[in-house]
Amino acid sequence: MSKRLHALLLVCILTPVLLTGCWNQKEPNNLAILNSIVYDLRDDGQYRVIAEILNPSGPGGQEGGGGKSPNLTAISQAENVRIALAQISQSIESILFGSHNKVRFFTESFMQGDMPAALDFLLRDHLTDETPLMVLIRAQDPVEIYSASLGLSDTVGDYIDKLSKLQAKNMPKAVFITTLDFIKDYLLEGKEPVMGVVELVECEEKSTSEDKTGEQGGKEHGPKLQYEGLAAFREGRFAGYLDGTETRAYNLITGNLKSAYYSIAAGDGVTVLEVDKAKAGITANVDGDEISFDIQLNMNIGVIEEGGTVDVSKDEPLDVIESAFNAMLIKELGAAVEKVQHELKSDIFGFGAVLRMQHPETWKQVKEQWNDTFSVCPVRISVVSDVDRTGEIKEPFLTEDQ
Amino acid sequence: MTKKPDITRAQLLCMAVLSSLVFPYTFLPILNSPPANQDVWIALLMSFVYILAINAPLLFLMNRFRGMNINEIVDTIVGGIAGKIVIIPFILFFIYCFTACLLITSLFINIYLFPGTPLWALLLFMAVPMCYTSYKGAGTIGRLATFIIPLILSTIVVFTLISLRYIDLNVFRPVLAESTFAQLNLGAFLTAARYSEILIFFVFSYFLKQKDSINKTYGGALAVFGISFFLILTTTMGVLGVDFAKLSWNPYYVFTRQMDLFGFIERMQSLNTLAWFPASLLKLTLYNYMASYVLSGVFRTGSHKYFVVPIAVAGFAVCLLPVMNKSSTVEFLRSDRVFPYIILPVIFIIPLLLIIVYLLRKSKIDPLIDKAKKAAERADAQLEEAQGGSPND
Repeated sequence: MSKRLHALLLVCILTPVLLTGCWNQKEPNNLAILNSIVYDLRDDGQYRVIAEILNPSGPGGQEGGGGKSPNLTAISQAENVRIALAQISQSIESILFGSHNKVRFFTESFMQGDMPAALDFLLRDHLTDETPLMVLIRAQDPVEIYSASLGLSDTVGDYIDKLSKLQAKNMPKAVFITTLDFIKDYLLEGKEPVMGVVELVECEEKSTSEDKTGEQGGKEHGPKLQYEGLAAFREGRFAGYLDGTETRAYNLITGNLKSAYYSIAAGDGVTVLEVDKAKAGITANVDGDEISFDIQLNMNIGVIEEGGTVDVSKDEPLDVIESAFNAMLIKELGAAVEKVQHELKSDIFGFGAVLRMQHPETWKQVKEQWNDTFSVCPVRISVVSDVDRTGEIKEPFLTEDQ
Repeated sequence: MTKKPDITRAQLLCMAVLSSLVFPYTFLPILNSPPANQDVWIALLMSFVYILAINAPLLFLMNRFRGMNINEIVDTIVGGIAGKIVIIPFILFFIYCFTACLLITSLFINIYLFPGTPLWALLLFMAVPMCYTSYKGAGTIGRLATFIIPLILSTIVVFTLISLRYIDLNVFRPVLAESTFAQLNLGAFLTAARYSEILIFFVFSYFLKQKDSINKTYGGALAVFGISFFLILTTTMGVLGVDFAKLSWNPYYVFTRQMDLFGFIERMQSLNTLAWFPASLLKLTLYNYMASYVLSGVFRTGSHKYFVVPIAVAGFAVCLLPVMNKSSTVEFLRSDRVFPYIILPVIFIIPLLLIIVYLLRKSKIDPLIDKAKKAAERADAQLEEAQGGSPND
C-alpha cells in the first residue's frame, strides 16, 4: 500500500476518537442527564438530594415538547449523600448521569454537617468533576427553586451557569465559585472558601414573558431567583453571609471585580461612575508581635452619567468626584473587612495566605490559631483612583444656565 | 540475534522522551516526593544534576563499547556464565517495568475512563497492538515513536498555552521558605532515580550508526524531557494548587479537565487521553521489546520474537492476580518507597561494578572493543553502499 493510503487509513481510524461523545456503552437515550443538584440535611439527620434532570421530550428537546416541562426533579433521602443519590434511581427509570451537571446547590444545614464527606465523594466519582458552580440556597424549602421563574432559561442549572458565563461582568455583587475554586481555598493555608448565594424573592413587577410551557403569564407572579451575596466558611463549616455591597468589596479586595457601577452625590446631582479596571494588592506587615495589613486599590473610573451640573469636562470637578469616590469606597471596604474580621471571623480575603507568602516564618508561628489572630489584626485601606469622563458628549447635558 | 536494524538519532531520542514522559503524564510522582510543597519544581530542576550523575556509568559503557549490544558488553566484561548472571537483573527489571506500567495504565483507565470495563478486556485491547509492535522490532518502534511524540508534545504545549489565563502564580510562593536543602536534594534524588530511560539508550544505541553521537542524543532527550516535565508540573500546580494536585490520582488529567477554549470548546481532556494512550502503549512495547531482546541474547535464539508473547502473557497474568489488581498495591509499587530503589541498582550500581571490572581487565577487553567497533563500521558502510546513501535519510 502506498504511504498516502496508510495515512488515509490512519486518519480514518483516529477521526472517530475525536468524534466520540460518550464515555461508555450506555445509550444516551437511557441516561437521566443532571443539570443541577441540591444537597440538603434535614432536621432528622437524613441527607436529602434533589436532582434537576433534563427532559429531552420537553421544549427544545428531540421530541418536540408538547406542553411537557423541560426539566423534572427527583428527590431522595438517606443516611448519607451517596446512598441518597443511588436511591434516586428508584424514582426515575433512567441511569443518573452527572457529567453535565452545571450547579451544585447546598443548604445552610448541609454546610453545618459533613461537608468533607461530600467533597470526598465529589472528587472521587469519575463523573462528578470540578467544573460545576457551588451555590448556597437561602430558602425555607430548597425544592422551591425549581418552581422559580428563570428568565430566558429552561432549567435552573442553565440559568445560573449562563449568569456566570454571560453576566459575571454585570454582577459585581455576586461570586461565581466553581467546585475547583472552593476545593483550592478549602485546602489552602491562610484562606477560607466562599460560595455564591441564591435566594427566592417575590417578583415585584409583572412580567410579560411567557413561561416555559408557552402559556402567557404562567409564572409571572411566582418567585424569582436572586443571585447575590456570598456565603463565608470557617474551618469547613458555614460561617455567615455577606450582602451584595459587602460582596462587591470582597470582589474588589480579592481582585475579582470585572466591572461595577457606583453612584455618588457630587455637586447638585448624582454622578454615576463605572469602575473599568481595579487592581488590588495586600501587604502584610510584621512589627514584633503585631501583624497588620495594608490593602491598596488602584482603579480606573469613568463618569458614565452626570445627573447634575458638575462640569465633568474639566479636571477640577473630576478631582472632587475622585475624592468623594475614594472616601466612599474606603468606608465600604472598611465595613466589609470589619464584618469579616469581627462577625464571621473567617479569613475569606486570604490575609493569612499573604502573610504566609510575605512572612513565612511569622506564619508558622500563628497559623494554628489564625482565624482568631486575623480578627484582631489592623487593616489599613488606601484607594487611588483615576476618574475620567466617558462617552460622546463633553459637558453635562444640564448646564448651570438651564 | 536478529539482524541489526538501523534507527536514527531522532528515533532514539523520541523513544526515550516518550517513555520518560508517560509517568509525569500519568501520575506526577514528584508532587508527593520531598519537599511535597510549592518548591517541587526546584527539586525537579535539581534532579537533572542527579540524573547525569546516576546515568554516567551506563553512558560511559555505551560509548566505550560502541558496536556491541547489551549482552555482548556484559559478556565481554565479566565473561560467559557470570555475564548471564549479571544480565538477569536487567531482564527482571524490564519485566517489572512492563508489568508495573501495565498495572498503572489499566488502573488509570479503570478510574478515569472506563470504570465498567473488565480488566481482562482492557488488557486484551492493549496486548494486540503492543505485541505486534514489539514483534516487528526496534525499527518499527523507532518509527512509531517519531509519530507519537509530536502528538504528546503538542498536547503539552497546547495545554500550557490554554492554561496561562488560569494559572495562579501565588501557588508557587513562598519560594524556598518551607523546604530544607536536604528535602530538596532527597526529592531531586528520588526523581532522578526514577529516570530509567538510560536503559533504552543502553539497548537501542546499538542500532545507531557508528557516526551518530550517543551523548548528543542523550542530551537532547534529557532536554526535551526536562522542558516538558517542567511545563506539565508547573501548569498543573498553577491551576489545581499544590494540595489538590497531590490528592489526585492523575493530576495532569484533572488539570486538562479544567481547560476550555473560547467558552465553547470543552472537555479537552480527550486530547490528553488521545496522546496518553498510544504513548503508554509504546512504553509497554519498549519494555517488552527490551526484555525479549536481552532474553534472546541470553538464550541465543537468534530472534527476540519468541519471547514477545510469553512476556506479555506473564505480565497480564500478574496483573490479573487479585493481590496485584488493588489500588494499594499499585500505589505501593509506584511510590518513592519502591520504584527508585528498584531502578537504582540496575541503572547505577551494576554498571558501576561493570566499569570497575572493565578497568581491572582493560588490557584484555580493549582489543575486543576495537574489533567490534571496526566490524560495526564495516557493517554501516556496507549498508550505506547497498542503499545508495544513508538508510535513514
